[in-house]
Amino acid sequence: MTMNANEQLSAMLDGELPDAEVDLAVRRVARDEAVRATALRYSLIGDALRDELPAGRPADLVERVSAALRGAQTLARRTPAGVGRYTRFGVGFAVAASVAMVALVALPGRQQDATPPVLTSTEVAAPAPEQRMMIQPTYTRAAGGGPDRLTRYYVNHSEYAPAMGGRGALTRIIVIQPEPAPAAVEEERADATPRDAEENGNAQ
Amino acid sequence: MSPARTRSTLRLAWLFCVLPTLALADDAREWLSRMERAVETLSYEGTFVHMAGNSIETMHVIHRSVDGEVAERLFSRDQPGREVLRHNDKVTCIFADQRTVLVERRTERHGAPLLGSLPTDTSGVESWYEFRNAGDGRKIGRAAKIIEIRPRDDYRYGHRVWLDLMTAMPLKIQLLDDEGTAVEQIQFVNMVVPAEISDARLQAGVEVDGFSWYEHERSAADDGAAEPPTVGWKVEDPPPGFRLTESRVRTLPGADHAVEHMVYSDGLASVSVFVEPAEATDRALSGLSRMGAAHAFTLILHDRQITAVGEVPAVTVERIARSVRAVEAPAL
Repeated sequence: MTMNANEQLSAMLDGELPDAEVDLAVRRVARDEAVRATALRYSLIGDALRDELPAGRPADLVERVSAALRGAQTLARRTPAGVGRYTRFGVGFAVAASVAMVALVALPGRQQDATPPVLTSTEVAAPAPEQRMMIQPTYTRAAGGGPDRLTRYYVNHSEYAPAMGGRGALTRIIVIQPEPAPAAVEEERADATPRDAEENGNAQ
Repeated sequence: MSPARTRSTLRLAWLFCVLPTLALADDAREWLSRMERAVETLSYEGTFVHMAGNSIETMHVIHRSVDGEVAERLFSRDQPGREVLRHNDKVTCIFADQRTVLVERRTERHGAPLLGSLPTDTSGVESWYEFRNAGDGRKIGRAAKIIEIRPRDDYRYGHRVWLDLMTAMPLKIQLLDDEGTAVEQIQFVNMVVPAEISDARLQAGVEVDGFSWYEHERSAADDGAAEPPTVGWKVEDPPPGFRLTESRVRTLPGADHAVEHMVYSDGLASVSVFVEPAEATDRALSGLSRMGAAHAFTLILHDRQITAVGEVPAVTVERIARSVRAVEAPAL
């Protein structure tokens, strides 16, 4: 992918790409997994730089991405005159992308009890695949054919998925299959008692 | 005065009427209500990027609303073959890879828009969420109002939405976990509000000849002609704020027996609980699963499979599923 394509992708995710160029950018995202991975990083970077990350973000994420970009811009200014502006753009984004991706995988809730990583020069490269939080859907077909129970439940529940949560409910039916997590068979004892609210630590 | 000048004057007068209304609507809840109306009553078409975890997909939505008749088409631009179509209360899901079509009938709400909207009953919702204006921004070249909904505990997700200042259409929507991390995001990369959307634009792009169809047939109870069967289960200890909003017994498309279905909601988020006879193959489904930002938790109780499903954190569906109990029959 050229630097021009990077810039185009970034503009698309910011919603600032001219209509005439959206189709081309969408086709790039559609056919290239690497572009999709880049798009995820760009989205996070864009939010961080616009200070649009919601409350609860790592306290220094914006500062780290901004600092990385400032450093990269300094580096870019020192590049030879023959190097184009897109290359300078690429240097900046590559650094910021790595910072943002490290921040993404280290966000609270993503990796429990993980210590925020110390940035080193090796992190300028894209993160290793195993660092990324993966959603690898598996799909259990119903014995009698047709969509399995979980899919039927998700489709049926989408009617009741209100508010902003509902907008993605049917989108998920199209793009994501249910992903059963590896777990032991759950069988409740007939005489089981409901879990006490206090045990959950969030009783109101 | 020439006709053109008259039109200009009327347009200006309309703007002067509308702008003060917009100023008065500068309130988070009012903006969300406007969004609800906009996504259902406007006709629009747009491409958006859907992100969840490491998954990213470009989708296209076409929504037509004319005289209360709503038709929609939602499909992936990256992976052709899967589409969702809606015509009023009828939702058709096409799974071309499985050569399957699933047809669902919505109930009294006349079908929710594919992009979703706020529930009508939001009383008491402030107990569980904080609504706030989070400033202004720009998306797809348009001025936007940013609205944030923060959950007050860990049992529900938050939301952050960028609403078009003129139409209140959502230009970007994030679903946030308890740490404020976006677990799912929809962002439009273009959107148009055409004067007319043809029937052809709303037809499936997938040839469905020879596919297996699974359709929900309306029962007498669905039509109100018979006393509906009652659900024999309850959630004894739901998370704070979640209360029973609906329960019914119905046969889902593709199933050969009835399923008991309860809906618990806190006014914004909702969790469906499905109870049906357990089959030997169902044990593989037990435990936690997820679909994007939605979670499901399944367990077996009294030879029944119990599944709680919703756009809520895993802890919420698990707590609800684990506290499902049979309702004792009243003494005669």
